[in-house]
Amino acid sequence: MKDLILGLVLLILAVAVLFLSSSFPNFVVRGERLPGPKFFPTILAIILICFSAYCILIGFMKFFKKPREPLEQKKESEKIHMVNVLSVILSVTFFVPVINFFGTVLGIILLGAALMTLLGIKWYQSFIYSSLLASLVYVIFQVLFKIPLAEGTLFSFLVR
Amino acid sequence: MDLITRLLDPSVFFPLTIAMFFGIFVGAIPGLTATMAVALIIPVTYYMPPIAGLAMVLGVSFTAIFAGDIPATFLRIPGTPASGAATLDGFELSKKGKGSLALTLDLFCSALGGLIGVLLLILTAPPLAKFALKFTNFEYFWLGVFGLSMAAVLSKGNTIKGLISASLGLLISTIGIDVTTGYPRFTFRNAELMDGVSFIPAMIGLFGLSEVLKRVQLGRKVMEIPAISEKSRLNVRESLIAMWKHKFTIIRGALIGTFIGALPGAGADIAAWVSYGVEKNTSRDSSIGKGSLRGVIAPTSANNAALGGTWIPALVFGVPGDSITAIVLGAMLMYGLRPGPLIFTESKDLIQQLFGVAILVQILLIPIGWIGIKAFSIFLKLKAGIVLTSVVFFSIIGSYAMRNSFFDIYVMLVFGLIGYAFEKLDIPLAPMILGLILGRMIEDNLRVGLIKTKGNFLPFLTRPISLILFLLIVFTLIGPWIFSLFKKHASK
Repeated sequence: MKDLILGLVLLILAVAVLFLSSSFPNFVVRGERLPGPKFFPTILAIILICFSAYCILIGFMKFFKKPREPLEQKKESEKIHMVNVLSVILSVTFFVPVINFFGTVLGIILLGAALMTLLGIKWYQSFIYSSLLASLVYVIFQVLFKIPLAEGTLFSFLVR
Repeated sequence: MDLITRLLDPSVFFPLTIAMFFGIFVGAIPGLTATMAVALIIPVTYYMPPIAGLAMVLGVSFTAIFAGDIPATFLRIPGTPASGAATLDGFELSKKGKGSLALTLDLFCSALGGLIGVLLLILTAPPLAKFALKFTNFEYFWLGVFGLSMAAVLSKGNTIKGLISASLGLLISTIGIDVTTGYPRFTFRNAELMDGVSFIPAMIGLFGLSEVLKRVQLGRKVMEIPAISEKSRLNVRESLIAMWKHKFTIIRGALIGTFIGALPGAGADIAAWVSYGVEKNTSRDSSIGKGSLRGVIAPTSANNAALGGTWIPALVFGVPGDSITAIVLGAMLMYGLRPGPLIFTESKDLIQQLFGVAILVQILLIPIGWIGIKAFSIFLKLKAGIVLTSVVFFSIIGSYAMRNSFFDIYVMLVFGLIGYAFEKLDIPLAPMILGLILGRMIEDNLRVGLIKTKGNFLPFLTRPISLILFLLIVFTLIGPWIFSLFKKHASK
């Protein structure tokens, strides 16, 4: 099944690359057509189509060859805890809007504490450790390397 | 003398020491890799002089590879993939109450193996660079393809998936303005993509965030690390006696490590396993695998030596030896340095300092590594949730800090998800990184070569070095397949 999915993804990607690169201009110098911007992506798309054909073929062969196993209860070590995965993805996704409003330090404390709690740390420990983490980030990036970290609209509003 | 003074200058020595402690910390925590440590340290080095930044990278990589052996010995959990081979005999010795001896021996062998690797780098890189000056577009094109094919063959998983990963890396490298015509490709009118995909956020995503996603999906109980029973201490005398007794194993391990490291795409993990395998097959010691000192010496002297080896193709040809040097090459471009044969003449001073730092790292590895062994139980007290959350936020801030760009945070996220999906589909990550870094080199040299020959591909195959490289690629890709056919035929 994995091979089949991979093959289909590669096929879609390759077709998209071919479609997009078809609009790239030709590279003509003194009437002579030279390898232009579409040359390399087109070669890569053709290579990807070959790989996708291979993956789809292998995927189909495996699919029909192997008898389907009954669904079994997975062991604890094999279970995928999607909530944890989603928590990490959401923390990164919402980082920018959160720090734009709360500022980098407060943003890291809030999001860090929330993520740590979701990953099984007691809430008060999460706040302590995320505060330490935020301080460390501030000292290394803002104080030591003078990299401007976002202050946040809330802080700017309060200072005003 | 002047070189020593410059290396001991606080502006270099202090960041180097800090980086080495960071390397020990990351390497000793199972699941966090040396590549991830390097990817996380790069944004910090951005505002430093190149030599201080490169010193930090060297310090982190060497110490992280060694530190990976600490949990491998005490807990049978390799801290980094390069410690996999050290787990076998290290843990067996630990079960017999000789874990401290195994680790002390490991520390000394890592430093000595690393030193041999660095000395070989110093000896071989400059003459190789002179030879590399003969290379033209045709040879550089094949060299890039050779690097990718090696990475695809040697990385875990099957070769086809390695090649898919490499092709996807090449495809991503085409994003941005086409250098020859100035036409924006696959940018979707996004100004942030005009310069191409930012390399460092991509690396941080592939190695930092994807590792975190891989670990958190295991759930609370599984991602925690068990406690250790043995108290760690240094066992110098016994280790030195064992080293003298097995001196040829150390030298052999270091030579194997450097050679494998120098092959594009092969890193410390492969070097450690090959060295262990050679020792097991050639030695009369039947206790290898059951708690033999040889079984500790062979892989640990090879994995650190491999790091020196990986710098040979990186500095000489601009082709990374492994995923760590792939990140380093990205960082060098960021510092305004151009890896390749000319770096030995254009930045002679910097190269000398770099070699000096590499030797200094091996010397410092012993005291810092010893502190690492002592502090290991403290690292383990930190809960996985805290460590992983810290990695997530350092990945975010690290990606942002490179260009003060919020867009790069999302680049990091996308690559983190790609890395996670690759793990699920059993696709190796290393070829993609190599594809990403070698993409421009391969495309530019192919196109310029074709322009020179007016579209004729034949000169790519008729020049002697080009032809040798082409045959090497063919052999790399179909050699294992032919060998397995012969084996099957012979067994029938």
